[in-house]
Amino acid sequence: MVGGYWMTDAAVRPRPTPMRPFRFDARGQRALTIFLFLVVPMFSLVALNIFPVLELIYISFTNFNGVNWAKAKVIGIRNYTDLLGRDSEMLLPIVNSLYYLGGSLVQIILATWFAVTLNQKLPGSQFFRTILFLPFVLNAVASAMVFRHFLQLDGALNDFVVMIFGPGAKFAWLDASQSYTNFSLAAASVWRYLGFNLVVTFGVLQSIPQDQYDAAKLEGANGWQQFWRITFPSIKLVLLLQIMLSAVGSLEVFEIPLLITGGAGKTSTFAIEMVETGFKFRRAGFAAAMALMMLFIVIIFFLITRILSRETKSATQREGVT
Amino acid sequence: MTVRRPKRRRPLTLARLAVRVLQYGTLVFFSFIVLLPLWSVLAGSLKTPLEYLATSHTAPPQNWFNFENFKAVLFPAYGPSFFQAFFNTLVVMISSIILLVMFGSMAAFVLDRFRFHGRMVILAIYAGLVAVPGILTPIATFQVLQFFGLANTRWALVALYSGADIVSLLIFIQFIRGISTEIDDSARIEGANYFQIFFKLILPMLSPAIATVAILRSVYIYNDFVLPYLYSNRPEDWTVSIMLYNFTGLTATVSQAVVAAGAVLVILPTLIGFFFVQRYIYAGITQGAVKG
Repeated sequence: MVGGYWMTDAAVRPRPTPMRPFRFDARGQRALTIFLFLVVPMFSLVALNIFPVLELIYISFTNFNGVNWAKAKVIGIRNYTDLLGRDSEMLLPIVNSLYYLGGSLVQIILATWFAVTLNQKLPGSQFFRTILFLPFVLNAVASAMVFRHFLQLDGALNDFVVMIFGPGAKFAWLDASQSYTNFSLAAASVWRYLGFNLVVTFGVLQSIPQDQYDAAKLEGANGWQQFWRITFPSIKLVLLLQIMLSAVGSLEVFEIPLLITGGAGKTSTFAIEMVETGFKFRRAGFAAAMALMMLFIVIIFFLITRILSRETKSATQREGVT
Repeated sequence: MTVRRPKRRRPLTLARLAVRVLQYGTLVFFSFIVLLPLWSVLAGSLKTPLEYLATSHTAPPQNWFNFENFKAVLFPAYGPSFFQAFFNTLVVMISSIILLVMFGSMAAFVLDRFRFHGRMVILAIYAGLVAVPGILTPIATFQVLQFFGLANTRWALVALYSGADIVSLLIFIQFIRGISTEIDDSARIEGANYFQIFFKLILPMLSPAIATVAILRSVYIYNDFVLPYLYSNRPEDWTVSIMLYNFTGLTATVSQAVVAAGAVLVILPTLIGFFFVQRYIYAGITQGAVKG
C-alpha cells in the first residue's frame, strides 16, 4: 500500500488555533467530506446491489408471483424441495454449461497462443490484434445476428460446405432441437470473447521485462524453454483467474442462446430458464430459489478461485519470479 | 558473461521457420473467421432482395451504393424508429457516464485518501459484488426498481449502469493513488477544503482515467442487451439493442437483406469509434482485469 494519505489529524494538529471561526474544524470537515462523497454511491450500492440479494432470499421462501405481494405467502423451503424434487428437470439446462465451459477453455488456450505470438512483435501484430479483438466491441444483438446470418441454413458457412462437399451436405448448424447446436453457440461465444482474453493476457506479457528473454537467449534457451521458464510463470495467475471466471461465466450464459436460437429446445440455459420462470410463468418465488442455488455455486467457485490464486501468488513469490 | 562465444545471429532453422508459419497461419486463419461473418452481413446489406436470394452469401454486392435496405431500416412505414433508439441509447449513455464519473471518482477519492471506520467494509463489498452476477438477481432488482418508480423506463438503465462498478472504481482509485498527496497537503495549508481539493485539483488531473472509464462504459452500454431486455421495454424507451432485437420480429415479411442492414447500421458507429479509441480500451481492460 502506498503511504501518504490523510493521516487523520497528523496534517491538522500542527495548526492549533483556528484562524477562521466560521469554518468547520478539520475533523468535522473530514467527516462531512466522507459522508457527502459516499452518500450517493452507498445508497446505490445498498438499494441496487445489496438489498436485491436479501430480497431474493426472502422471495425464495414465498410463492410470490412477481406482481402481487398481497397474494404472496411464506411457504418455507417448498421452492427448494420442489427444485430438487418435483421440478428437478429445471436443473437440466445446467448441463449445457459444459459446452460453453469447453468453448472457453479452447478460447483461453487460443488467446494465450495469440498473445504470445503478438508479443514477439512480428510485423503486422497490431493489425491482427485489432481484428481478433473486434467482435468484443460489437453490439450483442448485432453480433448475434451476424452469427445467425453466417450459420443459418442458407448462410455463408453452408455456401462453403456445399462448395466442398456438394449440395447434399448442407448442415443445420442452428437446429434448436439438437444438442450439437450448443457447439455452434459455444463457437459464437468464442468468436465474440476471444479478444478479451487476448488483451488481458497480452497486457501481462508486456509487463515482463525484455532483458529476461535476452538473458535466456544468451544462455541458449530455445523458444519452448523461454515460454515454460519465463512466460508461463508470469501468466500462470492471470490464466487461472480467466479459467475460473469462464467457469462462472459458463454457468450464467444468457444472451448468446437467447439471441441466436431463442433459447429454444435443447439450447436453453439455466439463466434463461430462471428468467422465464420468474417473468413469463410468474413463479417468482421458484425463480428466486433457482437464482440462489446458482449464486451458491458461483460463490463456491469464487472462494476456490481466491484460495487457488493466493497459493499461486505465494508460490510465484517463493520462486522469485516477477 | 560468455564473452568468448561470438555473438551469433540466430539462424532461421527449420523448427523456427515452422513456428513462424504456424503463427502466421493461425493468425490469418482466425482473422478470416472473425471477418467472414461480418463481411457476409455487410455484403448482404447492400444487395437487393432478389440478388440476396440468388447470389452466394460471400459474393460482393453488384452495386456498392445500393442503400435501399438502409432506407427501409431508417424510415419504416410504422413502429418505433432507429433514430429514436439511437437517441435513447445516447441519453442513457451520457447520463449514466456523467453520474458514474462524478460519483465514482468522489468515492474513489474518499476511499483512497481517508482512513475511516467502515472503509475496508465498503471495499470488501465492492469486491464481493463481482461474485453476484446481475443476471441472477432480476427478480428482486425489478421489485426495487418498481419501488422507486423506475421499472420499465430508461432511468432504470441509468440507475443500473451508473451504479456500483468495481472496474471503474479501481481505475479511479489506482489513478488517484498515483497523484502525490503533497499536492493535497500544500492546498490544505493554503486553506483549501476537501471539496476544493477534489473539484479544483484532483478531478482535472483525473482526465485520463475519466476517458478510460467513459470509453469502456460507452462500449458496454451501447452493446448491452441484457439490462434493457429485462428492465426497459416500452417502445419509446427502446435502446439500439432492443430495437434491433425486435426489428427481426417487426419485419417478419421483409427480406433478410433488410435485417442485415439493421445489424450493419448498429455495428457501424462502434466500428468507426473503435479505431480511434482502441488504445484506451486495451489499457482499461488490462488495468481492470488484472487488479480485479
